Amino acid sequence: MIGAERSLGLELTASGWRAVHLEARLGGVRMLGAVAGELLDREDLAQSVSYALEDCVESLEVASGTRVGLAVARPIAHLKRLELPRASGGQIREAIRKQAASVLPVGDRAMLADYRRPRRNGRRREGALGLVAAVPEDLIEAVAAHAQARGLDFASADLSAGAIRRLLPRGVRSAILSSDSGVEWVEYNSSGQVERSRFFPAGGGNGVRALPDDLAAVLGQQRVMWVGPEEGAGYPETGGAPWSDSEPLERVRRAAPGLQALVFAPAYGAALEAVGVRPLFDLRPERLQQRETAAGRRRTAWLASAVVAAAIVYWLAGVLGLRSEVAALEREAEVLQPQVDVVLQMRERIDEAVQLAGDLVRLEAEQPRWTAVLAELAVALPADAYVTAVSQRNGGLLVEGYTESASGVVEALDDSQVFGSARLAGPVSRENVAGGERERFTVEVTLALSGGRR
Amino acid sequence: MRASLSYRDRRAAIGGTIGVAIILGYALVLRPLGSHAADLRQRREIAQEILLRYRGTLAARGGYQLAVDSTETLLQWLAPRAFVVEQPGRAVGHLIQLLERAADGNSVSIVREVPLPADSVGLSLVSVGATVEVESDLRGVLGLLRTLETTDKLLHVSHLRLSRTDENTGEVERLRASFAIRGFVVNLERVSDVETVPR
Repeated sequence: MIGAERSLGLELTASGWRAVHLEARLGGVRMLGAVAGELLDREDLAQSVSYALEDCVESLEVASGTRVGLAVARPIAHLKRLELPRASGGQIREAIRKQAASVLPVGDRAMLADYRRPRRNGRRREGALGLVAAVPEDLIEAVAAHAQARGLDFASADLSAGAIRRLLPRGVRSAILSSDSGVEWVEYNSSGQVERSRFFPAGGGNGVRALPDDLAAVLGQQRVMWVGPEEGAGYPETGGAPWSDSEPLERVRRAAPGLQALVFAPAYGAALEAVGVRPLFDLRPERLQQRETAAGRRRTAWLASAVVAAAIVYWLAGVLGLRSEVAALEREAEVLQPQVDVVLQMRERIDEAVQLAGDLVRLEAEQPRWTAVLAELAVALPADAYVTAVSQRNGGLLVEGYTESASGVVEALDDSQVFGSARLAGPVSRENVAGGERERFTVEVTLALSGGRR
Repeated sequence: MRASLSYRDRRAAIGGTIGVAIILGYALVLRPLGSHAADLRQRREIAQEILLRYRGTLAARGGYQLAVDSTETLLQWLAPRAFVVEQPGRAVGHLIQLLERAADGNSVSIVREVPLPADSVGLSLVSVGATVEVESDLRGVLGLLRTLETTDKLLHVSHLRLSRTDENTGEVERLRASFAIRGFVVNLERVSDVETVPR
């Protein structure tokens, strides 16, 4: 609901009635003003109540007890703002009777207690009208009687308990419903049904004061919710007279120190909701209500913003921590780097020195020993052979000379331990030389020993 | 301005402003910060890896020192076998001098000497050499080869060729020997810290 909705409430008392102008907002009800008056016709009212209850109880068989019962049990009826055509007083009354049936299922026997003079508004007249269902004590007794007669399991408290129990805090199993007509104590079971109830009528002002001690003892042991008018609330137009006598509340409070009180306005809202009128009141717990109010939405928005901001701050703190950690690591690396450079240079020099040593060792091993090779060649050749030239070729030797038998040279060199293999590398020709006719040979030998390479 | 807007318009304007603020905040603040955080995480991994390597290197410093000692000991024996000069060209001169001394000592006459270009043998070693032609009798040639093999410097003789000369008129046969001789030079620039003790 956005904004306010104004309506009229009507309460019947033992001696008269009060019409209350209410402004309903989401957070509750504010009383704008009230008008008091006498009942028009008590005899007619009592008779009408009897007829009305018959229809009422008939409706109870098919409809929600709360829907009808609360609206009737509370001495308040919802007043619709009606748009009425220009008509006489009798025509207006008749029209109201017909329209009233749409407000409460009491048919055309509902009793009109009061109405306001319609004021002129162009060609139409508008009026705010009240509808009376019953006075409470008569109602309760009559409902009980009709319920028993028809075998219905309705206690008097059922008429109000359906809506009232929704107002009770968790764990509260007992309620005291206060009105001018008296005090009704209701005890609920675990499933929310009425376990038992007792009604203490005002009875000319003595009934409430005669609240029995045993009830006080029971109330002292339970968590009880007081449902009634606000203490000290008065009507501006009646000179601030209290809504009801506050003595019952004080007595109950003495018996139950932890008593929680619920002012009448929410109960009125619950009654309106129960009769099917568009909900004017938010009766949910306060924390749920706050979500839909502007302040609640602001609070939720601030909370969400705070959570998001906290998450961002947490993340930023992580980033900053990471940054400082990286800076520390890089600083440590910078400190170590000169020492590491020294070690790396040392390692590089070691590698070079090791390679140099390896190269020198290898070259030492590969050093040719030509004197040994030539000495072995001199030993290996046959005695009749002499060499004219020796040259290194392909890792071996090419030996040229003269001998009596070239094949003997090849065979002799082949048998040597220094030379690997020997073969003729050129044609063998016989020539006349200083010692006579000899064979000219050219033999290629390989070196078996590493010392003779190159 | 505010009074001229209806409730729905105000709500739409506020919602749009919040949406734009969220988008801008994400694009201009959160996303760059997220990428900065990713960079920081990567830098942390790299720094941790570098530090690990540095600490390992420093921990092995003692082992490296032992290796330096043993290598230096080895090089003290091996390095004098090479020429230790700053310029390889000077080593050729030393090599020629050594050759000439050996030839003189063995009555060998040097007919021709042609220096060879320097060649890199290893990372810190350069070979220098010359092609040589000498004449002498067999004793002289063998003595020269023997001297070159046993000198304190490491010398490699290759491409050896021995032949008779054409002027053999006497009793002792004259031989001509040609060969290439190579010595080795330590590159001092690369192994400046390695102690080399000439023998």
